[in-house]
Amino acid sequence: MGNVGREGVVSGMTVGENTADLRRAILEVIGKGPDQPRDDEAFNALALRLFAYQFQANGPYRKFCERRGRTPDAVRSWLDIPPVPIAAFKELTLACGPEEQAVACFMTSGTTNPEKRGKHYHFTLDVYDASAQTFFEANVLPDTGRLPLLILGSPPDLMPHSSLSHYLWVLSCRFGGAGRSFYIGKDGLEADRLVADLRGAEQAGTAICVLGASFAFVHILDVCEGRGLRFRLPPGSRVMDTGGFKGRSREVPQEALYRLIGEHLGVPADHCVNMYGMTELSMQCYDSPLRRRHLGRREVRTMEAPPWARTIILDPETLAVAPEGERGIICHYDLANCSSVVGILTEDLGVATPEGFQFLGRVGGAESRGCSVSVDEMLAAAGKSPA
Amino acid sequence: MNSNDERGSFLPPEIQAEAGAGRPTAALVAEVAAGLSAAREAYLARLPVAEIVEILDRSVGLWLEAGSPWLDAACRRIGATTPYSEAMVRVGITRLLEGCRKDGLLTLLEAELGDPEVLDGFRPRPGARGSHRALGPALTTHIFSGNVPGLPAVSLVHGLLVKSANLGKPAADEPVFAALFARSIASVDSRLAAAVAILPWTGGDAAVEAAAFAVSEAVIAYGSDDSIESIRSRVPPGVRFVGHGHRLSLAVIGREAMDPGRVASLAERVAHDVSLFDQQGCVSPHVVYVERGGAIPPEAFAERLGEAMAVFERRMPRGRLTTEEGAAIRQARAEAEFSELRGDRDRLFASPAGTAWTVIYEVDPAFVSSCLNRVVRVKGLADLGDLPDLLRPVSRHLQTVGVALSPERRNRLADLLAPLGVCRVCPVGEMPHPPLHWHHDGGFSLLPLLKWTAIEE
Repeated sequence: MGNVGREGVVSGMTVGENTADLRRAILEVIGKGPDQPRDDEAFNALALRLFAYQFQANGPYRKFCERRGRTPDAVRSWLDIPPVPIAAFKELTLACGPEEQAVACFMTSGTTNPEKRGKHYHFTLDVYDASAQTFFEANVLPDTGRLPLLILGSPPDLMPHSSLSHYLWVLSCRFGGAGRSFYIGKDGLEADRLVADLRGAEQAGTAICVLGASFAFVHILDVCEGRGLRFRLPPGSRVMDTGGFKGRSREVPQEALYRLIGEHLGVPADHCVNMYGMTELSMQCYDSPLRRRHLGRREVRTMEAPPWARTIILDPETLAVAPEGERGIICHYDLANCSSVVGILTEDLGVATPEGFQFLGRVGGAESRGCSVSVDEMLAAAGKSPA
Repeated sequence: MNSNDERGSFLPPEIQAEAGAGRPTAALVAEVAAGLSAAREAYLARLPVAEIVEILDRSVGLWLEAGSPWLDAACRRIGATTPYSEAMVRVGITRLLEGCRKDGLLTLLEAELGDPEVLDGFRPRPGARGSHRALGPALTTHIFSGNVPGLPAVSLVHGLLVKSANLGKPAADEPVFAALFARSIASVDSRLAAAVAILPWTGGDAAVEAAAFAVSEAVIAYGSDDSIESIRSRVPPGVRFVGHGHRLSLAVIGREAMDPGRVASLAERVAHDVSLFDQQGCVSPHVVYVERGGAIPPEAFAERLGEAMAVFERRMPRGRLTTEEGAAIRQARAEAEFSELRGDRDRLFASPAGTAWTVIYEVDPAFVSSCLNRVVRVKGLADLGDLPDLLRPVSRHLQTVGVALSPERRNRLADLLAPLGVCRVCPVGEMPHPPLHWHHDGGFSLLPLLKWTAIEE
């Protein structure tokens, strides 16, 4: 990914001066760092600017907003900007520019239907990269600058359409100065090499960071279990997992995963960070005991969005903001999403907490009350795994 | 009403006092079962089936009188404890119990047995030599589901008609009706009702269910495929088992039914079928296939159906949803809306605020099951003959097909769909109201409970 290391370069494509100004404004906000004071007014102003731009630059999104009577003239608060259900990324091109000018197209995994993968076009990655680096550092490395990164993921040349691969690559370039390596290659997880490198770190006594997909952790923990391997990674070592399981390994609840990581890798749960990211977004949220301790906050598991984003929980019946403590659909407003749409309505369920939100699972687990049958139950009956 | 009702139980007074408010145990189940069997032998087993029919008819009649306190109580309490609106519960229970009057009971007995008196003693059977007698289970355990208000009445009626004692477990999400219905029988004939007990234990409680199944000669269960399979695996060999699991239903409208003058009434009937029980019934349609070439194209019919769903919603509001259910509707709508925005000719018709009703016109004719709660797809059909291929992927679950077709074409379609497991073809508007003698999931209701004895000359 050519954008890494070219900070400040704003690709001056045909999208106009307005675009460059907007990107600069967003980069400025990100530049104020993860701990900047919360400024709702500034957030609102920039969100509305971004909305007006996206409304004008993105035809399908404009239609979507017009159907709801939410045009830039009518919208005064970011909360009234219509969030786009992520299903849209599968059906439409939601891009503020011509597809052929995109510098990246990230695609969803298509677990439910491989024919229909959501596409998220980016016309610059500067904003994405700055957002990723800034908030990763604040959540995973708040107490230490760089650590060797052992990455349970694929490099972007193997998965050019994976936002996760790009994210991991960006982090590895910026923070993995002391060493970095990807352990998912063409033939899958390179368990032997990983085991050797874990043992090496253990013996060298240098703290490391192991990060990647949650299902990959399950695989490596199964390898440890199968071979009777136990590591005691040096103090300060940490892990960051993301992304659930999606039928790629057995399902393991988060707490159980961290218990197994404690047992097999010797990394305590208070050094385990969970990242929540989506192909359709340009920011990531974290549940990070490391950050909370660094800031002297209460130790409770909760997801936090960066200052350049807001996460709200919507009541599915009214699509109004649900009261704190009530379950609803997770909805993100992400200023870094400058190439597509600022507001995203997920297919995830969550609940608001004082600091952020908790992720409760994917929509679709709804069971019928009796002998009728709904989509996911049908999939389950047919032996397929719903996403 | 008394405290037993609050718990959804109906037990003999001495056992009720002893059981208190604690969770049912295997020992309690054994004790209740013994009491039921004794009550059956002392009375129900000796009662001629014609008298059972009279008693049931009078009990059901109590619910159908104007201003019935039984119906009022059930509607109020089911409306309060389940997501369903009270108005919808009222219609559901009323229609269901209307089918359980004397004529419905006699039709069921005659349809399945020919001569109902084979339940009373040895009788000649037309076409069979000798004389024959049919004996129901000494005790039947019923596991009810909560999706169709009033349905436990049907199951209890089946048990009582074959002179079985009945132990019922109400659904956790609808603990009200079964006990109330048993109490209404008791108010007509307490000796008959002494052969019925309703005991709310936790579904899947292995010890309690093992105790119940061990003393039962038959088990009837309603629920998801998973719970049916779990129960089936625990029913001892030799105990008769009837399970009603997941089912899918649909409607088919022929071009001959698309009369501009009658389309409003047609849409109203389809809206009734979709909306009643919030689509949670096995009889509720997921897809409405509309044949092309009629006076009103499928897409326009979808719009009319939406209007009718809105009218129905005003009369009988959709129930409260869980977060998951509501979110699933939002997701289904989003997919339809974007398909429409993309210019795929798909259309979304939906209640403007909230998630009360959703009609999706979809060009792709493939059968798609709904996320339920009044979300229905309308699909065009070039020819009725295309249906078997479209339905084959879900044939294991097919049940009711509501039709608006000429009698000849209806019969031809029934011929095509019977091999796919469709067990009922009925007019649209009647889908949620099968007669008591229907072939529920393709079988009989009384015959699977019976054991026969013949005397050969």
